[in-house]
Amino acid sequence: MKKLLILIGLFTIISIVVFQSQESEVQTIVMSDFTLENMDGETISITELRGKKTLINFWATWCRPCRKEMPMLNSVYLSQDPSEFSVVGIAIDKQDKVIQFVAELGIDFPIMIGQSEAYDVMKTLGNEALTLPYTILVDEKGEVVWSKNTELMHSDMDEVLNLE
Amino acid sequence: MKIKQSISVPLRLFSVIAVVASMNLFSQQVLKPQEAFPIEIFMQNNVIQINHRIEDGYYLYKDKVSYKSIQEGVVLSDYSLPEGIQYEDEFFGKTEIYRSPFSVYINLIEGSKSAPLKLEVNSQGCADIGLCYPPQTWVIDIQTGSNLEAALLSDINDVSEEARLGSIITESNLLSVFFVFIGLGFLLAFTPCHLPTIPILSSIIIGQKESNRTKSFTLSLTYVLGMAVTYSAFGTITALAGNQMQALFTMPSFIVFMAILFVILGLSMLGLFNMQMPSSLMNQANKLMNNQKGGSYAGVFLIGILSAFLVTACVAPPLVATLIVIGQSGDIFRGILALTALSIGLGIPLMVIGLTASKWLPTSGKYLEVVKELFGFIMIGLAVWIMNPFINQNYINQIYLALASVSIIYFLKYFMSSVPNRKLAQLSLGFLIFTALIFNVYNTDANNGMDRFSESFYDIESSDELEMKLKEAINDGVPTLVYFTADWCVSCRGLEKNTFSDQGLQNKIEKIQALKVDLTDNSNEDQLLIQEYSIFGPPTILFFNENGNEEKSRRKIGVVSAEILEAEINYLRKKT
Repeated sequence: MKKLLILIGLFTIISIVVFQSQESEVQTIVMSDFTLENMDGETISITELRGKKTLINFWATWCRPCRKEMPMLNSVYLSQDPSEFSVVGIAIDKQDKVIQFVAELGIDFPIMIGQSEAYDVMKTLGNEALTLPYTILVDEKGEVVWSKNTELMHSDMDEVLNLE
Repeated sequence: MKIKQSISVPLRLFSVIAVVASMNLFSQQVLKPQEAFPIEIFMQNNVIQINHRIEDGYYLYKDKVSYKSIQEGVVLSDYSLPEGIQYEDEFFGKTEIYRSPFSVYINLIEGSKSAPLKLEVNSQGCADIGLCYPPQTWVIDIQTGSNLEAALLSDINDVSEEARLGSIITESNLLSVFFVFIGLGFLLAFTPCHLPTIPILSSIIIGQKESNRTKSFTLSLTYVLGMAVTYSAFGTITALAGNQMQALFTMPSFIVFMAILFVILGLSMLGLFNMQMPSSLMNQANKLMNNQKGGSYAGVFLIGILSAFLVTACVAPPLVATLIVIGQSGDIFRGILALTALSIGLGIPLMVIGLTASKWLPTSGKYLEVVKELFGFIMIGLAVWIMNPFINQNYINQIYLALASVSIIYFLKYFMSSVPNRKLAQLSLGFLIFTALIFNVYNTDANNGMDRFSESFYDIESSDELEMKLKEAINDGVPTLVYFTADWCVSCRGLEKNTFSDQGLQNKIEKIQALKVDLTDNSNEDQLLIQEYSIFGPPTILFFNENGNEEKSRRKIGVVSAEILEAEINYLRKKT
């Protein structure tokens, strides 16, 4: 009996040691191509954003934390060179509500509108619970280099802007 | 000193596990909405009680909680929500939220007599860490007429079982993954698909020359390890390669090979090879079998490996969950851990047999001879059992009947003094096996008994055809059910015999578009469909809504009950 337990133990240890290295590998998610509508109802492809760092923020008008972080996102957008760093909002909401909200808050960065397909996009980007807000930083090559699934803080913005 | 050393092994093992488990604590854990806000519904004497639970750090908005009936003729009373906590923020002003469990009562004024009662529950909530969930709509079935019947369908329906198990693998700590999957494996061991392993192992134990408890147990452990290694290794390889697991393992030729192996093993247990057999091949096989019966660990390990191939055909949610985790997230370590735990769980009943075998199995003498011969017949029966998918149902019953008669005649020899009967019995047995093998793989009328079932399903041959059918359904505004099956799929037969034969379900299926994809040939078109829809193997049932989009969380893998399928069809039709 004792021998067997040791055998099982060894088996487990070996498998843990062998595959531990696998776990530490960071998997990069490359943003796949998808299209959404902008506020004027025109179709925009996400690949148009390639070539610069883009902070993509998923939000909705009913979501308090999303609303809270909006002014900060807007100031980040305005403070950066648009050819190097952009901010894009993806609203998962009704068009009329979004238009009203954007006007109310005076948001300058581009906003796209989506429904269930936007949730699918969010899921492929690693947000399994489909919560809002969800913010990701996509680099020039379209790789997701940073993400956060809770309300953004000033420290997050510092981190994002200092990422190389 | 010696004691210290023997303790240190488990200690070290534990510390390794602890270190690996702690590595996972840094990622931000977010509960799924159904985990953060579970709902339970009870009904007693026409009073519906809805219990909302709320996890710590999460809250629901009172003004977003609502209930309504979505069935014609069902009238619910007004209801009042309990008082919540005042909450204020600079943007939305004052509102009320719930942070602790609360219950709401609604009177059923007029209920529908025939259909099960359904309630639509709407809610929306957030978490203190600064995130919100989109508004959720749950449709929950309540069984009328039964008191205190809990319907937790929202939990079951919103996320597929595979996804839920998958999240256990990727998110829980390693120890709990290990134990949860041992438990799941143990439960799976009793599904018909896995049962063949029990007589196989019992035969091995009976076949050994000297018998004692330790030997029986080590033999069964070797067998289980053989299974576990195969299960884990091939599971990982196929998942990584993105292949269809079953197609590889349950090729008809492999099943036939195993059936022949079982027949040879069975005949050898009957002592048939002691007669002069002309074929030297048979003698070789006999020698091999005798070695294994003698308790050769390598041989038992080999039989374990072969048995694992045999039972990998049993597609069940835990297995698929691990394959998805390995294949999609690339989390090989956790996937293998889960697969290994699953196979250990599967092996528990076998190890129990090994431990107790010396108690209930005779070790020597005349009875050993009888039991051995009995298991010989069981092994042959097993060969017929695994050939089941390829043999017409009518013949299957006849074969079993014949096998039973032969075994009875055979055992009559113990009541008769004259020895020649034995030879006669053996000859009739040989004839029986010959007959069994005639109704082999190439029997094309295998599905005669399933007329009623197959009438309601339209056969899909290609991915293009499936797309065309889905487009038709969009035009007609009906949802679609797609059932992936194959002739060699044992679980599919169970599903067809026990689930699809249900009259209530048949009526429901007639109201939607039902399609069937037969993967038996494993043709290029089949492979395309498998890849396109990420099928891990039959039986798998997909649901498409009236817009032609698959409701992925509702996908069903393995054997499911008619009630569950009915509930899914109800859900789909309600959405239209």
